[in-house]
Amino acid sequence: MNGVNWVALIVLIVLFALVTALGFQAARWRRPKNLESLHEWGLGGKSFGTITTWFLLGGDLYTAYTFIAVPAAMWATGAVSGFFAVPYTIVLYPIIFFFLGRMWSVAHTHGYVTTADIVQGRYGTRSLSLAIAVTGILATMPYIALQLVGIQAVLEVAGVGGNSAVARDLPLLIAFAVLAAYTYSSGLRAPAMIAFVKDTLIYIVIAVAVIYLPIKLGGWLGIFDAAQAKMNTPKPTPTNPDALTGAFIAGPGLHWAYASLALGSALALFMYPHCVTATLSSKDRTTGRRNAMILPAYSLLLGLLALLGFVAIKAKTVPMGLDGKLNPQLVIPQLFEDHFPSWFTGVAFGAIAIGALVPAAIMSIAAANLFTRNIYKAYLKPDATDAQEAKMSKIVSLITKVGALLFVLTLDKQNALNFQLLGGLWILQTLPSIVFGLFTRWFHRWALLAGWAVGMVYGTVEAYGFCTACSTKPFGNSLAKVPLLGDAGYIGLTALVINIAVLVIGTLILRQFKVSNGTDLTRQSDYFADVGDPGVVPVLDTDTPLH
Amino acid sequence: MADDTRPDTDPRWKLTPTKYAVAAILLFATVVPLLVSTYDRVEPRLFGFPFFYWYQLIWVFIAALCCAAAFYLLQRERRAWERDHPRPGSSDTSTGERGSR
Repeated sequence: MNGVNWVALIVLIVLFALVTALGFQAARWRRPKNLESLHEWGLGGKSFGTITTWFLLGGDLYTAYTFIAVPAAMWATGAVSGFFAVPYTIVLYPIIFFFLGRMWSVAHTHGYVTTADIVQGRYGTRSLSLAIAVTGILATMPYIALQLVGIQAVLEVAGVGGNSAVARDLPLLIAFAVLAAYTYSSGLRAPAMIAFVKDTLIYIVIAVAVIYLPIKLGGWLGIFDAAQAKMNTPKPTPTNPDALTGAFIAGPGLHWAYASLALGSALALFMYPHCVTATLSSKDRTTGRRNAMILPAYSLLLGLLALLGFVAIKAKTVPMGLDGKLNPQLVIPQLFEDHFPSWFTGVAFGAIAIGALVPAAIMSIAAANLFTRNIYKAYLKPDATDAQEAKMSKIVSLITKVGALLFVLTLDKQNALNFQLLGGLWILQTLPSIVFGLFTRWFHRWALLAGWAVGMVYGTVEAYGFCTACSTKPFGNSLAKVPLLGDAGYIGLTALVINIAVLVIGTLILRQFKVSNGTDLTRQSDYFADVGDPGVVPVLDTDTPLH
Repeated sequence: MADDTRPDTDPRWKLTPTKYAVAAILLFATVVPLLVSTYDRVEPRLFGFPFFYWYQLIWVFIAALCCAAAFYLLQRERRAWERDHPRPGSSDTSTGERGSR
């Protein structure tokens, strides 16, 4: 290893400090009378228009997932494990079109802030909304873990860390401490404001990288040829002596794996607490849908970023960790360090680190809101004051990040993309409860709960280590042979199908016996309400009692 | 509250031709990009990009257009609804502020 890259490290630290200062400044942006409430700390006042919502959602999409994990997967094993992110972000938008409007309307008519609130309003069933809340918090942890891996990768390439056990995780602990301090003090306002800066930085870096590097390396044809050569190199495994390094294009037998990873990720995204928060914080019904038309701009850049993994193959980048082992997660920071002057490398590192920090902050805040609203206030302390709620959220946002840290420390970091897929597996199981109810009350609440439980158990067990394609355990891979189909597929999507099967059968039985389906607090007209309608709360009200 | 027998059936829950059209457009934009066998090949290349890669990147634009079409159709239906059902308490809901949204 070539030691510490001081120039890059200093630029990184300066950028970081600037953004942090801006973040604290942002606490005064549209300053509320009192920050000591969940409403202000955790929801930023809820008055965001199309542009801010776009950046907030962009903050959710452009994370360490995009510029560390996906290119790393492309570099290591090619198209099936990495490029599925492109169809994922393509089908995402048509899918959210189906339910986003209704979700916004019902949330704003009743002051719902979380997915568990929506489920509670529709079925009046505390156990079901508790299941949704717990799943949301659990699923967010590996996603935050992915962000920590991203920050760690940048710091490691810059030279922070070492090969002893303590030093190896030092960058990770630094990343964790910064994130924790930051979120604790500023709440959602800071990441929302910094998202502008973050995206500007990222666009500059991406633009330079995807234009300059291919020119320097002799064009895309050569890059793809180098990638093809690497992917077609034999790399026998104990179970499969004919195995290749990776897939240049999806190839027969992997079609369902590719499509199911894309579809599963797309269905999962808007079930995450942080994405729901971002979309519900828009000021009218159509903001989310209008965003669905302009957000694909992100997908194009995501595709080009993914291909940087192939660029690194052509550039013969060696992502060697400070512990002397190859680590694919380091490939993009290393690519920048090899090919750009130190100062620009520092800018790129800053963009990546801030780009991981912002979503991690948003995610931990959203998970904390979920806990405070649907567990703390619903079960533990129904008469909590605003200040107590805000305090609880701050503490839980810390606990969520500790959970994320545990994921990073105990699981295999070689395939960080898998963290996101693991979170997706869990969060997908909440989809029937959240989305189906927006269209029909036919599905039964206990069947929803049973389907959720079966999906969670099947998915977790399968992903933990019983999957056929797993090379590392536990939770080493998100692909497994699909029962009845034979081909490999995303475990999360398989679990969702099983979940829905249980749901339909359970509903038929329960309806046969005319078991009560809970109390529906919503009316049909609530699902079409818009700002200006009577009863629509222009600003979501977190004080409305739910339970 | 007995949920299944409730009288307040809002007409907007009914499936209209517009909604069928929107659903068809959106399903098209969801299903076609996932039909991997239709684009799982290297040739023809474009600027060095294998077909597999450039085809998917082009779908970013097709999907955006589909979403825009769906948005337009739903907005048109909603405006028509608002014209026929003026909101209580506001005199010009179908023009001006709402129309510009």
